[in-house]
Amino acid sequence: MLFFKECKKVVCSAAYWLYLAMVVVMYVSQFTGELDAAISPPSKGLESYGWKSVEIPEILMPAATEGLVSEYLSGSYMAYPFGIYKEVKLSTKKQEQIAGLIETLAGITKEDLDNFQGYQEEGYRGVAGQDGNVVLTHQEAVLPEIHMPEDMSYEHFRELMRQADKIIGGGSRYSDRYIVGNFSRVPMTYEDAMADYEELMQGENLAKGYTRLFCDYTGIVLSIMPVFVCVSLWQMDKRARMQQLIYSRSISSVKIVGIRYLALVCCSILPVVLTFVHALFGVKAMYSERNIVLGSSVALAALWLIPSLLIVLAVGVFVSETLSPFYAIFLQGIWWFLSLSANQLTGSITRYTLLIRHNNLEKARLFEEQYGDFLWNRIFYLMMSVAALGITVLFYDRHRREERQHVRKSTKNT
Amino acid sequence: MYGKVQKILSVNLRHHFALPFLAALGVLVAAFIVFGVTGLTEQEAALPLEMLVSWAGPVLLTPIFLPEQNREIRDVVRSKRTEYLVICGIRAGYSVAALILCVSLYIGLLKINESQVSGRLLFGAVATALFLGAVGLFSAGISDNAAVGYMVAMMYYLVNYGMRERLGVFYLFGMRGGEYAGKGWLAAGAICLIIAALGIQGKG
Repeated sequence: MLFFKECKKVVCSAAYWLYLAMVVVMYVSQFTGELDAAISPPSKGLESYGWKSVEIPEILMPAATEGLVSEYLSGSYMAYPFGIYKEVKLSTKKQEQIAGLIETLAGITKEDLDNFQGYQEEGYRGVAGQDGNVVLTHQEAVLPEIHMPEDMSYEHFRELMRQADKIIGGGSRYSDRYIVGNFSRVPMTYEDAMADYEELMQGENLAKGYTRLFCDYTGIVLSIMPVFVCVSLWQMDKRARMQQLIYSRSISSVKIVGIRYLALVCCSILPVVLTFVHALFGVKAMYSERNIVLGSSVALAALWLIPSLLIVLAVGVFVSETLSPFYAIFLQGIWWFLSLSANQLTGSITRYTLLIRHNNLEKARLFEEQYGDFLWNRIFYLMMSVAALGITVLFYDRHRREERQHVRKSTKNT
Repeated sequence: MYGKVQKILSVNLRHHFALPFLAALGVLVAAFIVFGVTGLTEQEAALPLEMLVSWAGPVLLTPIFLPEQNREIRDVVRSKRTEYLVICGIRAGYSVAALILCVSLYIGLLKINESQVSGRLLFGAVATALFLGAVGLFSAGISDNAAVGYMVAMMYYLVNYGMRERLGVFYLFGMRGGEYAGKGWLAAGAICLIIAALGIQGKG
């Protein structure tokens, strides 16, 4: 009974309807476009089929060394310490340390680097054509000659690159996370693209591809918006001055907090379930000639999205009860932003980031490679939610006892 | 009158300002940690200002009506001789001043670290934060609920990621692409929303 009362309170709040609207807007604006046309196989004879990152030391080592020399000469280093682009300028001492690494890697002394004339960065530049129009042309980097020691092992090279990354402050192009993607890319062939397509079309992969994309978009909303619904519900008692009445009831604190939390979870998951069902029907209709298996997609969506919802609501409930609803929104907002910024669109699943991104219908293999971290991440947040809820119950119970004592004292005095 | 305003100001600063102001400083610290501040071009410097520092706006402006969110407290406040509108106006005044201070602080930090800053960057950053804050304040005003205010500000922010064309001059992240023309509209829109919010709460 209490559960339905709490659900009614949630559903009747303005915050819930705004949350619902946000889930639907995100779904319609970002995802439904994918339901317009089925994925078609790659055509033969295209100029490019994209690039893929493959760890090939023979490609990676010279390219990364050139990159480091180029950034040393330009005086700034590209980095993504929190996933956001950052132009890092190093102090003289740190530049000297990088020069030392370059000497080991490329056989160029600091003096030679500093005296090098005519440095040019690799990239596209506007050049005036014969008709006077500016044409973008690709220009190769102009760098001092690099002589990498022949006895340099790949392991030693990677160790030196890690040192460079540390000097830059982490998250640079030479970090373990980014080095392969930045410096060891090979063009995809028609056969590669076709193999990816065939793999996607097999068995349950197709529905899982759409599920991943659905979860990617919905996860962004679920990692922030439910906190507003939660805060709104928690404030409702305060505004209606119902706290003392609830505190005086015989019902246990576990039941009050638990039922309220459950009501928030059930109501918040409702629009997600509805949009997901719509998405699955859309995929089924689009590929009516194929036998699409949905079971594992439902499990994947549940595993992906439910922990996000649980942790956001648990942290919202916990901070609202212990500090203030204002802090709950503020902390969740900062956490969400950092998490969103720390992620690349695809392929950067880590064990502890709140948001999990895979903004691609394909690249199933990449997701499978990171599945261990994905599973760890989701179980971690599931457990954190239970812990946060448990601590909230303790605080709630203490507040109740204090309030009861206060009322008893006041009654005695009068 | 001057004495009364001074008294309202000091009471409100003491009781209702510290938390939002600390949170706004927290936003600046987060922006400082996440983004670089050294040697940025004007366009690069716009990134932290529009993406994160702009949140100082909702943090400072949205809770203006929060102390009287409980209807009974508001009724008591309204029964006093000083108009509720005056109290909210004073809060809006010091919140906007604090917002300008916060943005200026961050821009000062950029300047110290040899990044390119300019008057139009400062104006653009203040206008962005002010508009986002005004969206929050207005929503809080019409819904009588600060949580809804923050929520609508967040929704507006999210919408800016994917609906640039539809937002027209009210697009928040223009400076990142070197566009400053919309910032005047944002500032004007913010002023209109703040006045409307104060009007609604003052009457209601």
